[in-house]
Amino acid sequence: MIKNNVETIVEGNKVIYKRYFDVPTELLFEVWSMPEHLSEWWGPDGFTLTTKSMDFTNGGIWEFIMHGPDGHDYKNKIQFTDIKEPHYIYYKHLGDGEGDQDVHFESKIIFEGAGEGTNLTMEQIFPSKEELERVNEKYGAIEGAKQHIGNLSKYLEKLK
Amino acid sequence: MNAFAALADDTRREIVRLVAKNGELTSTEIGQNFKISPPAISHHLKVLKSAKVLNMKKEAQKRIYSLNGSSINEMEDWLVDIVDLWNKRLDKLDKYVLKIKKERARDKK
Repeated sequence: MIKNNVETIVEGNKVIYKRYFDVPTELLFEVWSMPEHLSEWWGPDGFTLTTKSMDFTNGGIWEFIMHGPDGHDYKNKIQFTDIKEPHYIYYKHLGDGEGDQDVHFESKIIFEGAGEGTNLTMEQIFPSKEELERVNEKYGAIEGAKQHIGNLSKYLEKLK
Repeated sequence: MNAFAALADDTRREIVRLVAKNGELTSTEIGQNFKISPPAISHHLKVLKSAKVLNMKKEAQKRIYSLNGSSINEMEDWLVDIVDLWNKRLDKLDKYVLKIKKERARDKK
């Protein structure tokens, strides 16, 4: 899946996205690290985003709500596990922030200067199948997440 | 019950492994590998069939089970959706940073 310097690789329980952005590393890092920027691009088209709180430090939490075009609100909670400006941001997705620490997946976002621009590598690490089963049994989290993402996909399909 | 929930049970996971290894097995053959009662095995098989993890065909008095290859693995399904979402999100990010870059270049002039 390579088109205009975009590549997505799925291997085992990992998904790796590689992309080239024609902007300096500092700028790319900046738009990942500030709520006023994140609200501009994080939500899919038609969604708005409200940040309840954001602590962009190691161990800090970003709590936000995505408001869907259908009037649904999707709560999200992300914990930054390791940040090194402007090189990388590691975080854990903690689901809707209301259950226990049911980690859906971890992400590593790595910024590398490439001439005038930046190569971004994003790695999403999903829990093992067993872990997913456990989480699902306990919280029905998979179904919830599937529905949520599914709704987004359906909605995005309509926009094509 | 969905496939994930169906597979959250140790015995059912073991049944699926057994069937996967052998291709096809009758309910009797499956039962011989476990110490639990035939009705309990039959219940597990019913769950796995309704969750579309296993296929079942009847031949005379036999019920023959095999892996359901056509049932979409939920995790993969879910993964595809997430990949799609993130690719679109990164598209948006690309547009957004180029816009900011332009604005800042203009402000400098």
